[in-house]
Parts: sequence; structure tokens; C-alpha cells
Amino acid sequence: MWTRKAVTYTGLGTILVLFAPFINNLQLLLLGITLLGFVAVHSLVNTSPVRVNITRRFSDSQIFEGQEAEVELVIQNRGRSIGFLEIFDQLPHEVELVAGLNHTIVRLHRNEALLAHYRLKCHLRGQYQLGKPRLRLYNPSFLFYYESDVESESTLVVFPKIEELEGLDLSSDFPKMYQGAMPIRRIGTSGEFYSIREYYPGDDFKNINWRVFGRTRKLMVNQFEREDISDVMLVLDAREIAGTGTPVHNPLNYGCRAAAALVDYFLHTRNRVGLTIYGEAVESIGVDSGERHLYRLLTKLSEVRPAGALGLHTVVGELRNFTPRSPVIVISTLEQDPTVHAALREITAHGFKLTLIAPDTLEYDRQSRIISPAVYFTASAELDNTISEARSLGARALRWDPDSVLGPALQEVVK
Amino acid sequence: MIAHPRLFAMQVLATAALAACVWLGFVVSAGADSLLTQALNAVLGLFGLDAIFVASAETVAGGIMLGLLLGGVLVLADERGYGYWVGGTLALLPFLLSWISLTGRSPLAPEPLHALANFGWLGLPLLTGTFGIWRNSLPTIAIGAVLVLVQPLNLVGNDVSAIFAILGFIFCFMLYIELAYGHLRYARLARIMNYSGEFGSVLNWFGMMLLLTLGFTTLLTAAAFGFHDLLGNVLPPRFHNSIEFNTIYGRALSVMVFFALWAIAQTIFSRQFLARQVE
Repeated sequence: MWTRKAVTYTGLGTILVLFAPFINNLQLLLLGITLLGFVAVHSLVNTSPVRVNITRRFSDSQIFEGQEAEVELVIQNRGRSIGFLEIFDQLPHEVELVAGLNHTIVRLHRNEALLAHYRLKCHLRGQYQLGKPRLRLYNPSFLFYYESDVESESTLVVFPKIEELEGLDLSSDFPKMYQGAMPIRRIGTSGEFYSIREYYPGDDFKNINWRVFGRTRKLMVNQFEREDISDVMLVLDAREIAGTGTPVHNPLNYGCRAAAALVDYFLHTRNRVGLTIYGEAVESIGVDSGERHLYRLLTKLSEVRPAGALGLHTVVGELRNFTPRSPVIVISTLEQDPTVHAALREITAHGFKLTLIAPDTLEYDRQSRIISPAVYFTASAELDNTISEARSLGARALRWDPDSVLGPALQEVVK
Repeated sequence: MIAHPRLFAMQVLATAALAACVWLGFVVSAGADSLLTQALNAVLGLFGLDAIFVASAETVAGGIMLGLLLGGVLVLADERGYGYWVGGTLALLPFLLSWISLTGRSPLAPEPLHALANFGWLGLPLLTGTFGIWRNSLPTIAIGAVLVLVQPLNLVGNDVSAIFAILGFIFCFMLYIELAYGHLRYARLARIMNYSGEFGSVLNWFGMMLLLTLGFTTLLTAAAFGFHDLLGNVLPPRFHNSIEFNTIYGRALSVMVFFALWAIAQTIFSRQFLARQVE
């Protein structure tokens, strides 16, 4: 490709060559010839084909929101020596460059390999494609350039940020008993001591704490922790309306973070967790446990995009196969879903222990003028009504302000 | 602040090349009054004043020094954020001095003021060019280049008798343009290139290739210039004996034919090659 400079040189050279004879000026004639000759010579310099391979290496190809990833570009020259090679590694808009540059200029000798480093910070969950790197080859005086893309794409997975939850009792009153079950901080029949209480007729004699009796002359019995695991189903609202707001501040992103925190909490307390996402379609990942399942769920959460308008009621069918009377946690904005009331009634009627978390970004949207005050008040009142109705059905319902920490807010409703 | 020693060297060389250009431009014109100088003197004559603009070895040397000095002042002023003030003052100063001189209010004799005005006029390409080189301003680099070409222009013309001065002028002109523009581009790219650690290496390559390509350009210019004689041998006698062919017009047309043939050859032979660029 010709640059503007090359066009200017050619134009000026031609004008000088044609104009100089009119004033009998050899100086301008020769200058015109020189300018044309300069362009002609440069059309042959640093323009032959190049063979450059670029590979990308990550310090970690799976990171969490807010974390940084070190990217290393390995640039290998497989062909002739290159004097000026501009490399631009194309990055998605959502990632921030915090150190180094994705844009570099190098001189590459034959078969030489160079490294270029830069560091990215990812503020938003997602699966991002990095690349293709774009090459631009200039000749020395910037008269001609050639551009091409190198086939080198990589995927960077950014999981939702996980908030550490502690001491939440969202599990079922009807636990499934398994070998190797984990203690939960509730009274039960395991070997782990929980507390002592006064003896009541009918208590097992072997549980009497004789040391306390020796000291106090009162019959006290030991209580032990209950061991159980539950099947927990998380239901996430990924409708188009859940993406209302900015790319960072929207109910879906906060919903994903809440889901990630709950998934992490339940799996680390050795429960089995499943995930159902509704929006454009209903997608379900069955209950399972373990570290691999955690990454499977986090990966799913990282790729959720707001789309569609399916109501909560469409999930009820999926829940029919779920372990009866198990905890179901619905994370939804509840906005503009005419099926939500019927769905909540049906879920509670099936005996599931329902917890409802409604990420509330209405206040932020109003302050950012994304929605009008009239819309804000209507939506806010509607949300309050739905939450009140859910509570009346026996569900634990929470209107969650994403600026506050999820754990304490959840503990409030669990009480 | 000196960003990089090689960038600094490019600026120094470009400034020196520009100064040499101004001097060689005067040498090529062999002291003949240029069209613009004559025009300025004619304007003075309209007001009944003596001609004060004259190009001689001494005045051109004075112009070069004054141009460098004023250009340097303007560069420093612009660096400190006073560019518009100093630039405006410099632009108004000749008019002010002329007015003081013409109205007889100046305590100085008119001759030094006239000499100063003459130096200022002859040093104008250096003033603008120096500012462009050191402040990375493409428009002022271009103005400097145009002034260098236009200022010594006259109707007398020149021929092969001044060939060495002409070749020197062309070499210096190309050096000025290429180094000034190269500095502008590489200084802009310096932020990126500093990360690559390849900065010095790329600048070395630029400098080396500039000299090499200027050498090859000289050969090609000679070939294009000599192509006229080749055409003379090839064309029928009624052509090569014609008046049109044997004047500078004929040579100019031969040059255009040479580069037209070059372009055709390159297009034909590089079509397949260009297709391979996308890989």
C-alpha cells in the first residue's frame, strides 16, 4: 500500500520534472527525478514476503474478575531479515492493559525469536478471544506498507469473582445421608461435639456428660453436630432485561457473582450443586460435586450472555426431576416476568426450600440516568411486591444491593 | 529533553542539511536575484524606497545564522509554552522595524535594520525548518522545504555547469526531508518502541537504509537522466535531431517515459508477488 508520503513524493516529482523546463532549471528537474527515483527504489526495499509466527502464552488462562494475567508473545521470524515490523495484538474492549503494550515494533533478523510481554486486567467475566495479531511492515522511509494478520488466537476465560461465604444455613431440612457426609453447624448425631443441654427423660444415657454432673450435680447431655449433604439447585435469570445497565453494572453480572459465590460455598461444604440458566433457552447442568464440577459451573457462568425473554415458569419443568424438598436458590431481577408469581407458587408447592435473591441495580440505573425516575419507582414497587409474595409463600427472599456483601445480607434472611 | 541519542543526531543532521541546502541554493543560482527577492524590492520601490533585499555570500551566511538563532529561540519558547507569543513577535518585528525606520524615529541608522530584514528574509527557511525539526511539526517542515526550493528561484535557470552544487543541493534536500520526517515518525513511535527494546536497532536500520537508498537513488537518477541519450539512439533521426528532443523539454519527457516504463515493469512482475504478501 502507498502512504500519503509516497503519493506526495510522486506528485511533487512529476510536477517538478514537467515544470522545470519552463524556467530552464536543471536543479528542479534533477530534484524531480530524484524524488521519483527515491520512490522507485523504495518500492523494492523491505517489501518481499515475510514469514512470522506468533504464539501467545498466558501466566494463567483462567482467572477471576479483577485479577491480572501476564501475556507473553513469542515472535519468531522464519523468513528473511525484517527491519521494521509493527505488531499489534488485538484485544477485546473489556480487558484493560495495565503493564507493557500490546503494540510493539521490532527488528527481526533471520530466524530470530523475540519475546514481548504485557499484562492484562479483566474487570468483567467472559470468554475472550485474543488475537489475531496484526502485522504491519513499513519500508525504511515510510513510503509503502503491507498489513497482514497472523493466525494465532487464544481464549482467556474470566470467571465471576467469588465472595467467600461462611456459616450460611441454606441447606435442606431433609438431608440426604451419604457415607462421608460433612458436619454442618446444626445439632445432629455425628461424633463432633456441638454443645451441652439439660437432660430430659428419654435422652440416651450414653450422652450424659458425667464430668459436668460431677461438678454441678445436674444431669447434662452432650449434643453432637449433624452431618448431612444436600442437593442444591441454583436458578439464574439470564434474560435480556437482566443485562440492563452498563457492561459492568447489570443484574446479570451481579447474579453470576452471587451464583459463583454460592456454588463455591456449597461445593466446598461437599454438597452437590446444579445450575439452571434461563433466558433465550433453558440450560441445565445437573447436580454434582467436586473441583471439576466447580470449574464446569464457573465456566458456564463466565459465558452467560443476556438474551431472550423466557419466564421463570419455564424452569419449573426442569425442577421436577430434582431431588424433592431440596434447596432451590433463584437469582433473578424478577422484572417484567409475568410468570414469576405462578412459578414461585409452584416451586414452593413442590416442597423445595426456596431462597430468592434479587440483585437490585435500579438505584444505580436511576442515578446513571439509564432509567427514568418514573420507571424506577414502578419497578422498585413491583420488586417489593414480588419479594413480599415470595416471603408469604415461605421463601427466603432478599432484595440484594450489589454494593453490599452477599454473605451478611443472606444471613439476615436466613435468620 | 533528549529522548534518544540517535533521535537527537537525526535532528542535528537534518538542521545541518537544511542550512547546507540554503547555502547551496544560493551557489546554484550564482548570485542572480531570485523572483521573490525582486518582487520584494519592487514592492519597496512602489513606496519610493531603496531595494534592501539582496543575496550575496555574506548576506546568505548572515541569513543562515539569524535563521538558526531565531528558529532556536522559537523552539525553546514553544517548549516552555510561549511559542505563540514569541512567534507573533517575530512575525511583527520586521514590520515594526520598517515602520520605525521609514518614519525616521529609529535612533539606529537604517542600514543595520535593512541588513537585519534581509537576513531575516534569507533565513526564513531555516527558521521554519528548524522549528519543524525540533518541535516535530510536519507543516513547518514542509514550509521550510518549499521555501528552500522557491526562494532562490529565478528566470535565468541553471545547467550542467553547476552540476556539483546541484547534486549537493539535492542530496542535502533529501537528507533534510527524510531525517526530519523520519524523526517525526520515530519520535512518535518511541513510546511503543521503548517497550520492545529494539529502538536503537530500528533507528540504525533506518539510518543505514537511508544512506543505501540515497546511493541507489543517485544511480537511478543518473540512469533516468541518461535514458534520454539511449532514446536518442533508438528513435529515428527525425526525432532525435528535432529541436524539441534536444532541449530540456525533451529530457523531461524522456524521464517521464523512463519512470512510466519502470512502473509498467514493476506492475507486471510484481502482480504474483503482491498476491503472496497475504500469507
